[in-house]
Amino acid sequence: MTDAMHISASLEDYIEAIFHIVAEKQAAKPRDLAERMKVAGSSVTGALRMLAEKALINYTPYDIITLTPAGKAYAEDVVHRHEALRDFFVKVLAVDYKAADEAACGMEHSVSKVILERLVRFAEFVEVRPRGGEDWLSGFRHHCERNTIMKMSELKPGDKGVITAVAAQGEIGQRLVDMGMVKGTPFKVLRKAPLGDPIEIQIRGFLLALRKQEAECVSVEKKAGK
Amino acid sequence: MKEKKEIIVALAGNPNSGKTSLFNAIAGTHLKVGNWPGVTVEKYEGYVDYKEYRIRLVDLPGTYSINAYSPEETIARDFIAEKKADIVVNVVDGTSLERNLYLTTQLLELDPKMVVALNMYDEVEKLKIAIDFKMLQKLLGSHVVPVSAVKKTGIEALLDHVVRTYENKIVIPRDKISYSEEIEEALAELQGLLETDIPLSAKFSPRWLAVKLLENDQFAYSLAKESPVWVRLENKLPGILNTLEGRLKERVAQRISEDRHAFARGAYKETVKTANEEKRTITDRIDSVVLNRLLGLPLFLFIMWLIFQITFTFGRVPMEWLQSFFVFLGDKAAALLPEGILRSLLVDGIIAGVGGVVGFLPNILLLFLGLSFLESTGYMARAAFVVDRAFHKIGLHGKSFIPMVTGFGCSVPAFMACRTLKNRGDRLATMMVIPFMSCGAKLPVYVLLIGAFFPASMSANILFAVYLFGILVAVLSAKLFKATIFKGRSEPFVMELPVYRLPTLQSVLMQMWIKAWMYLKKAGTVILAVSIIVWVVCNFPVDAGLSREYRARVEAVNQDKTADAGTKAAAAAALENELAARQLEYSFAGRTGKVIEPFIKPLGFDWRLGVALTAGFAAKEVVVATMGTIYALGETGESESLTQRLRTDPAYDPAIALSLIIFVLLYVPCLSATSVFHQEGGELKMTLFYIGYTMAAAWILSFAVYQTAKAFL
Repeated sequence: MTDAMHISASLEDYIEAIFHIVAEKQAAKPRDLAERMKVAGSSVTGALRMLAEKALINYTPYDIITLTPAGKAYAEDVVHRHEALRDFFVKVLAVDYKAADEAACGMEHSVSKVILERLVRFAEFVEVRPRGGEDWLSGFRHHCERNTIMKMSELKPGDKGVITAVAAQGEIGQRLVDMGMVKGTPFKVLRKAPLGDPIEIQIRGFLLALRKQEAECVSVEKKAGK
Repeated sequence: MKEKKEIIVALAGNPNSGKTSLFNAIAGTHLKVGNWPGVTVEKYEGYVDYKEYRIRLVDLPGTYSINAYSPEETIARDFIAEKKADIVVNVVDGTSLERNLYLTTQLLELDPKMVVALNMYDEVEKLKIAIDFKMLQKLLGSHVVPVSAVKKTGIEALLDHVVRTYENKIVIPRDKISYSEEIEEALAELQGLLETDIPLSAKFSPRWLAVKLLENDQFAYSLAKESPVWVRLENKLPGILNTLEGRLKERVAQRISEDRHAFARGAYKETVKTANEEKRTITDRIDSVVLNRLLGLPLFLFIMWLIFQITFTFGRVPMEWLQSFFVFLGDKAAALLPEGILRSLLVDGIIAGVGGVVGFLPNILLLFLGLSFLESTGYMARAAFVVDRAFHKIGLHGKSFIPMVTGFGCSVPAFMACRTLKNRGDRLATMMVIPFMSCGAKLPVYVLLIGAFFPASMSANILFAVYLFGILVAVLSAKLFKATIFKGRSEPFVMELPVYRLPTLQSVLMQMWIKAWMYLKKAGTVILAVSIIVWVVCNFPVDAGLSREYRARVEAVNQDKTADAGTKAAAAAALENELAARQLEYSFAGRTGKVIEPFIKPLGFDWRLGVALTAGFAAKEVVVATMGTIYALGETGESESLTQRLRTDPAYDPAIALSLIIFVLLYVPCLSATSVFHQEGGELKMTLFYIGYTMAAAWILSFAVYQTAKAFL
């Protein structure tokens, strides 16, 4: 795309809108456009004139609007950017569709081709990555929904969780692991000692007491609810 | 009788899996059965004759794993790895299979001939837990025999399986525990190398060695280094480890543990169907009270207080019976034997000395009964949980609590129980303060003195205060030690809280009996010997001139015609007393007492107490025994108990009694305890420091107490 073809963000919105209307109805009328863009008829006229000047649309007042081949290519590019961004938000970042669509609308004009291409490639890579794939992504979604990777010591009595990592090394690490604290193990915090320090958890069908100092070494994912 | 063939069987399993109870159920020699993780630090052996075999049992320490991070794990690991046992019986708690199977995976790797004893099967049935034995056997490659050590069921079947496994009549193909693909590849490479070393592979399973090398295990390294294959291993190993770590993106040892847990979990899920969690909720319900944020601590203190109340209140009646029995025995012996050295030795030496100690048996029995009960119910572990914060603050560990409580019974097992503390600083600091936890042998001294100088209504409270004072000194000392000589990070607190179990009456009584027997044996041997020695040093050398002089004076009194018979007898008795006292002064004991008198005078002690305290180095009970001997010699009137004699002796008052109690509470424990300290501490420097510290603490605090008490009382 040449520099001459570079148009403003709002004009890109117009051409994108025309593209969608044309796709639905074969041809667009200024009134449809004003409705879709939620703007006054007068601003539509100005924008259409500018697009016509750049030879992206065929436009004469009071007639229907169609895209020129160059306009169609330009519009397709904008739409592609929008969809790619939206998909990335939904699939990889686990944002819901509506919010993703709105964000894509704002970002599609400014994101460069290189970055966009990389985002698309990244989304593809994540989906097919050997140890990742759909599981990995659903893990991330899960992770985002909970948004509560925390230390075991931060949990309160009654909280349930799953161990995600044991950071301690050496003797403490080995002790914790020997007692069954490995990643993926569900547990429940039962209580704190009367003086507040060691905590008691239920894990692998038995009761284990450990100091907060040790519990700090254990990363957990808190389960929602009690 | 025909020689029986011996099979050596090692019992291995988690703490609280009922290993020791099973050992008792099989061998019949009853050991201490507790609910505290790691109660079996020592190696216990026993045997049973079954069919044409003598099955020799070795009870290995209970461990959760055999990574050899603790002495217990090392003992267990070495015993099995070095094939010292013909058969390994892996005891697992059927109600907590998932966790128990983790150790099983490690045992299987050592590839011994193994039988799995699924213990607590009575509870398993009660909880309606369904176990697929066939499947479990297939997965573990070992026979799984349901047993109940408490109900004594399944024992025959277990022995039968042991024998048949020994005779190779049971062979179940054993699949190896498989690890992640990456690890398996590294293992295959290492195993290939190790197998080229025929002698090494014959001694140790190459696969186990390979796994252990990946886990960076010191023992495996030292084994490999000693073998010729090391030349080739040395070059390859770092590369294999590096590649593996790069592929796994986590520590290799951690992944290996994770894989083992995964196997254990898988085996559990595949074979066990749980109906309900009733047992857990009972435990949970008790815990919600016992470990309650508000109630937990007061309840803990109350339980401890209760034990001491029971010890004192219920112990007093039988104690008095026993004391009067020994007085009776002394009188009878005195009446039957002719006057002379033999009578004096028997009556004043042996009966007075041993009797004084045995009289306190009821108190000691009750104390041990209470502690055993707490231990076997599972409360002891909770107590550690409740007090850990406080103990951690003073620089000790919640686990220090158990040795310290054991110290209330006897310092010897208490020092040994410190082995469960792996951190050197933690262990030595705990050992240093154990002498201040008043041991059972000191109890007679307190009971005697409190009984003699304080009203009965106050006695239990004073006794409790004495114990609290010992604890206070221990706490302050611990804080001092951890701030000065034993600096550094302490051991992590990661501890199982066992499910509450009601111990059988039989097992609690049995433990009490073991304690009583140990105490009586001590009374029968050490204390008997010390009583004789004390009698000798109190009676020799004899000052013949002195006896002659007094005999002449008694003669003179008797010749006196002006006095009536009653006055004469009284005067003669007074003279006899004077003679005995002077004779004692003249003896070795008297001389020693005199020598140390200037040092103990500021504490309110005279030379007689000096003699008693010196004799107390041999054993604390001997303090009472010696006082018994000294006073028996010092007075020749009507037989009365030592308590009464002390009460009526004008040389003593409550201030001295308090000072003496504090001194006995704090000064260096008996010879046997000190030698065990030396053994466990392992450094002469520490042992000397320990003697010096306890003596200094005793002197300073007794001095302070005596001077204060004198001012107020």
